[in-house]
Amino acid sequence: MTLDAKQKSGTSALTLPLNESMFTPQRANPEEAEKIVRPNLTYFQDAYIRFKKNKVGVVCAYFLLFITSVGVLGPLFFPHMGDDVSYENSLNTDFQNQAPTLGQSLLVAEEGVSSPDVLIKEDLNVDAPLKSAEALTAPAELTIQGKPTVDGITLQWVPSEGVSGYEIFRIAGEHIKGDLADFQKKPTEQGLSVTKVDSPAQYSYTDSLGLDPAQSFAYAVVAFVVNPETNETQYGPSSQVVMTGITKTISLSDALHIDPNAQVGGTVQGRTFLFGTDNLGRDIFARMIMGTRVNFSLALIVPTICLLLGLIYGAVSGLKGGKVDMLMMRIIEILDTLPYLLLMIILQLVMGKGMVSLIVALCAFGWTGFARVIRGEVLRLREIEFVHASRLLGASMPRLIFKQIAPNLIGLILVVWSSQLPGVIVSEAFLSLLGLGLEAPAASWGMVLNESAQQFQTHPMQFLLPAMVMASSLLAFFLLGDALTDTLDPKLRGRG
Amino acid sequence: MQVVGKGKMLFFKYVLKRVLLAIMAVFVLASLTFFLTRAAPGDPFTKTKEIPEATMANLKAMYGLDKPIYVQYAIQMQKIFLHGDFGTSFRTVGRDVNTIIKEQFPVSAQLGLFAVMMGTFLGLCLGVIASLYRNSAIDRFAMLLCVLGLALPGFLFSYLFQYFFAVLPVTDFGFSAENWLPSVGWGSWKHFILPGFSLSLGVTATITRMTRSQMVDVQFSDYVKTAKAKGVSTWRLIIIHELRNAVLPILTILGPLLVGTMMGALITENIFGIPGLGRVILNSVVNSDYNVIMGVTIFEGSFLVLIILVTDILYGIIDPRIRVSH
Repeated sequence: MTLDAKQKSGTSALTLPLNESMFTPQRANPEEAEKIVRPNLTYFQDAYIRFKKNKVGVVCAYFLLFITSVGVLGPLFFPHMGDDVSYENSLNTDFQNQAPTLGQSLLVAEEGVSSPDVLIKEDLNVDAPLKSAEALTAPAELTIQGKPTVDGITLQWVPSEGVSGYEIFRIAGEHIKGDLADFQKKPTEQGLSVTKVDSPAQYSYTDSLGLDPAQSFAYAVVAFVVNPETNETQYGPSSQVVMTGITKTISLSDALHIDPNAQVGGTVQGRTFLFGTDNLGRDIFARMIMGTRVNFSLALIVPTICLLLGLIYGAVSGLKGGKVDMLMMRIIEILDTLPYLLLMIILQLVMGKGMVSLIVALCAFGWTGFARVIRGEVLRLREIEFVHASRLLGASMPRLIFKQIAPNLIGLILVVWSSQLPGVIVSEAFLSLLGLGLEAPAASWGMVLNESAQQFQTHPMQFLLPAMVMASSLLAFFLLGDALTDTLDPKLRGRG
Repeated sequence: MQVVGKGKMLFFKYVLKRVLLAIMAVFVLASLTFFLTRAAPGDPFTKTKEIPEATMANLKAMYGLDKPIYVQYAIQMQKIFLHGDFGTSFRTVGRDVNTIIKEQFPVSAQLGLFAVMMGTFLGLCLGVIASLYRNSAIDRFAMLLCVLGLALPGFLFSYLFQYFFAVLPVTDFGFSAENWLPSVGWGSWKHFILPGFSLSLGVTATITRMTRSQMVDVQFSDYVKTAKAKGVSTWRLIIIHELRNAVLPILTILGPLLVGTMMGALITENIFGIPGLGRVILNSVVNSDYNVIMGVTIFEGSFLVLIILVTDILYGIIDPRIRVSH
């Protein structure tokens, strides 16, 4: 409707298409008022709608579904997995402690290859007078020739006259970056002497001493003179330090398994280890997949068993009431005050390792929480009017339980059940980290963490990646539990 | 007069009930531990070198292990409850269990106390701040930290802290090992920091959550509204009126929180090489050292029971309704 400017002054009539019929009273039609316009939602449909609104919960649910599917479908992509986690190449020392790799290129090497020849500078005057110790200069241009492999690292430098020879020092390790500066200053003290070359004309050397593919190596060359009178060796300053890792090699016979056209000197794609390998050469990612199955089935089974036990105990206690109730509650109170962690450990010891014993140990003390909560709810529900009405009408006890009380418990049951999920995983990890839990060679997240934790100082990634997986799953379970609580707990419904 | 008398009677009844329950709990614990440890495969001597039959029989006789189980049970219960004597360790001959506990319990207790105190302090601060600036960035951040602290187990943090704050600085960043935080060991204040902090995260998370929700509840109560209307300054309002009342439920969980932290510290003690009860328990369980297991379990269990008892009594004093309902 538009009002023209004249309306503001209130003088002229409205130019609206009004008529009498528009001013008839709108009476409420009682029949229309009682109509249920929206579709009738059951408890679960309502809960589902409310759950979907909770974005965090939905994300967590998808994430957990993703991890579960990886656990269930994983073996399809890893045909080497079986119930016994041992693959070709397990215990193969070449594959120990590898960092995560996407199938790096491996150099195909000949077996029993010999080191390259030592290089001698022909035109150097070997008999030149020895310089004094102070006049010694650092050997120049220390370089690494070719591709360093497990079989040898070839070094070259520029030889000089007037020295008795050269000594090559080396430091090796996983993290030697911090030590390089110190090494450069005093290689003779910081490093391991790899070789002493007695001719001033030799300017190459191939080091093959204990070359670990996981480590990095740094070299420094030092010229020395031997004082003819005192026979004392005096060192000159250090050359520039060179650092290198090692390209992994694979023997031709193994390479032919992967690629029938492999040739010596060529490269082959190695296996993909998404999380690397542990110190026995086992693929950590595959073990995590196995672990997913173990842990998630534990997470499903244990709270369910606890739920059943607690449900029966709590319902009986609540419905019976009186002295029986008091006694049962006292028992629970006593159980609650026991140090369950210690007893869990002792219980595990009594029953040995294995899935069954683990389940028993985890369930043994988890059901009290359920029992308490359910008893509380049953006590409350007992007094509700419709239960009274049913009893007056002559309903039997089982009918009361199943038709009246149980449906009202479902929401609460789900809430308590979902809150137990992260606890089960943590307890399993706890037991595994103490050396209890499952028997090797089975894999569970806790066991993987236990083994990688032992390598933590030297190979932190082995621990960090599985730990991140476990941490994110725990978070997801926790947040999912929170979301379910918000959705299903009737007390919080008002707050929405 | 009558009402007061009744109130006192109720309170005594309540305390009596609780004490009786506590004693029963300890007894049940002792018996349970006894039978469980005896049921475990192996005994204290099989794990060591091969012992000839005769020596084995002698050893068993010396320690009273050859008597039927019920006799052993009676003797053990008598020793513990009447004399407070847990016997000697089987593995390290001659070491009194009581001595072991006396030496190593304080270490665990100190660590636990440190973690709980630090966690409570941080938790209170964070909780108060979060409740004052509800739904702001600080609040969201605090809640995020809470979720992390509650969902993730303490030992995870222990490994991470040890690596990032003790090992990595020394190896890769060139910090000197003596001046920086030590990665293992015990003895100086520095050794408290890493394990204490990693244990305190769980405590912080719990307390922050509780404080925040309590403070939010309190902010809507009548006495706070009155104080505000009277014109009380913000600081005074927070500390004297709101915090005091919000903190009550937190006080009651501090005890069990301490015990929970101490027990959860088993792995952390292992990681940091701390000579506390955790290590004792582990070794004794692996070696089937009955006396030590009994001693430590009963001791820690009694400690827990005692703390819960004190907490319950405290709660009974604070909130009279509890005495009636129980």
